[in-house]
Amino acid sequence: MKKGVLREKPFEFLRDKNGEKFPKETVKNWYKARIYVLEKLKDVAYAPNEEGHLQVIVENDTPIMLAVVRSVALYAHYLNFKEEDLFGNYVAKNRTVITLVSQNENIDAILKKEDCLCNLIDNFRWSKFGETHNTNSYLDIELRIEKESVEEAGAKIIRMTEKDVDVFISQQDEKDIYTIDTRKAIMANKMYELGSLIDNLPAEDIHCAKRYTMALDAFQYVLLKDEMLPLIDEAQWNADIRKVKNGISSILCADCFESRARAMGGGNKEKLRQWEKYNMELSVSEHARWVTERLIMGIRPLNAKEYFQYENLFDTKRAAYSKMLKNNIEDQAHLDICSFRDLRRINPGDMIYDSFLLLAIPRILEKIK
Amino acid sequence: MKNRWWSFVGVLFMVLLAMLIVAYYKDNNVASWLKISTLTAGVTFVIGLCGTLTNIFSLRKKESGITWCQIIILLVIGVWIIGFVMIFDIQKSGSSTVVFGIIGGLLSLIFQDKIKGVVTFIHLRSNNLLGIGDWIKVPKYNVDGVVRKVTLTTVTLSNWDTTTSTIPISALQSDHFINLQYMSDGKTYGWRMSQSYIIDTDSFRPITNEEAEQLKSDEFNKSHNILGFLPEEEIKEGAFNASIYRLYLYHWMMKNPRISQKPRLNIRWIDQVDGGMPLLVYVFIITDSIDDYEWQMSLITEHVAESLRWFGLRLYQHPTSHDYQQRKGVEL
Repeated sequence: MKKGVLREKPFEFLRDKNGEKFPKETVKNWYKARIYVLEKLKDVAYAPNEEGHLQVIVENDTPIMLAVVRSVALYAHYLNFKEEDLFGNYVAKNRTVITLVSQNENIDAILKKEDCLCNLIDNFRWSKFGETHNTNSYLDIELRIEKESVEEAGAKIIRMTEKDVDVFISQQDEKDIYTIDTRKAIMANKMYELGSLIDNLPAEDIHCAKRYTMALDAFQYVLLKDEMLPLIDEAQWNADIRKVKNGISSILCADCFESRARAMGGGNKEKLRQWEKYNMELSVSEHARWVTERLIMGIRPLNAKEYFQYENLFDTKRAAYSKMLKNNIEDQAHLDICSFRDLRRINPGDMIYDSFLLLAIPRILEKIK
Repeated sequence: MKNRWWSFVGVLFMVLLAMLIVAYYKDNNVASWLKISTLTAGVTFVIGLCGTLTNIFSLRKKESGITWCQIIILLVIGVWIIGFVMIFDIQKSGSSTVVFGIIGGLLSLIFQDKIKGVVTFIHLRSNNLLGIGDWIKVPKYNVDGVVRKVTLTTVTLSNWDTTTSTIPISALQSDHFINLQYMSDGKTYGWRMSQSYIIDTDSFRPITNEEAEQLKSDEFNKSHNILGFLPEEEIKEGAFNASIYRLYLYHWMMKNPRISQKPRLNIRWIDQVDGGMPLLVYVFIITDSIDDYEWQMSLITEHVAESLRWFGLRLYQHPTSHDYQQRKGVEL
């Protein structure tokens, strides 16, 4: 394993649906927004049974502030989010609320662009000047577009302004802004691959954290000893946008490790039992984060016609159809873009990725401090 | 309580047996008698203490505590046997060893079920196959209830009919038993529902244009939302109503948040019977309680009964006196 920090530039590889690279200024804003938002959210964490939610007020709708909205949506996912109540109704309790202060009547069209929130707009709860859309959304994040800054009673408030962003960025080293330490993401990627090796989901307990812990303990030493190769393989990333999106997914996932560890009371091995105990809450939160990230990356859920066709197929044909939709580069659709509750009944085999990865976090944080 | 009695009687039996053997083969040695008495008293005390602790641990479902208590009981019995052999120096006397061997063999024969029980106990506990509070079924003994107490030799259960059953633990090794606890906790894919509904085949027919338009109309869908489960193009004049209904019910089940698509979700016709054609609903309901499971099953049955009418289908039932009364000219 290399001792030094591995810094890479992944966002430059992202492309739009037409295969065109995003403008350099947009990419720069993503990097700036990432480092700024992670800094602002560094003290925020909610334990699984804690009540309350975060409200982030983003003042102004300039490109950098829209990039900030995008980053908040990617990172502000907390463990106290509840998908449903005791009656099985979707309640989406303790959602993070992003309040965007804007006077622009067409702001929703701008937010829907690929460099901003893209498909998230069609799936999460959002409102513009009081008119609400997607009221039944299962996602743990909500956007409110207001003409004036409105603070919610009972919420933890974080205010983000363009001036604040500029001041923060001016104090940072350029290398720290425009490159990312990918070591944790590389480990996350390895753990994802390890999770995919477990293909015999125990039927008596389809969400068995204890067994995943055993598997992790059995294999981690081999994996952690491996040489840490860069996350970016330029040839592959230039040829296949799916590789780029998956790599960036690992980075975004790894960026949330610290906030998860804070909520668990620490990322050290002494707290492993906590991670096991709250594996369900962690998994729900991670799944919501993953869905948000996939939607922002331009991947969409299956539409009604595709669901109908999927349901009319059986066994291997059903799996092949779902894979075909996932691999369609022009218009990727993923079966797992749904609530965690639906994932459990539609595709429980994929629950393992969330569970496994989350149990690996304390081990990864212990290795990479 | 029964277990403590058994421990006490067992130890007493062994002490008496030891006294007989020693009185017959050895000179009376006061020191040896004192030692064995002290050892026996100690063993009895430990067994009693472990029995009491087992009862306390059972109340709190402290599984590991129960297991350790039972293992300690086993160990102290072993210590008593070794102590007995050493105190009376049996290994040096050839004739004593033979007699002791014979007695040991006889004891093994008498207590073979107990010995099997010990092995089963260790097997079940070390593999987490049985715990306090588990819902188990043992078909051979007609037992269906919740485990209340586990000892080296017996398992005590509270049956659903509020009676209590005690079965030898060895039965759980030699005979088939079903542990439903993981399913009951909602950790599996779900609780299986396999229910068939007999549809009157006289109601099977192609749907008319009016019926198709009615099924697709906004007003109808506002209350019944058929188009949420079936694409519009599937509902057309001439389509076979039984076929569309099966398709509708299948997609309704697939989208039902309480029904798992795994491991199987099947809606199919089964063998024709006198009353008509049974439609089998084979699904897994996601739940963690028996009451909720039965409630969800009832909701599904009610939906089947209601939705059949939308497609011009009806459930079969034998004619009743009411039906005959309604037909004029037919005498009862």
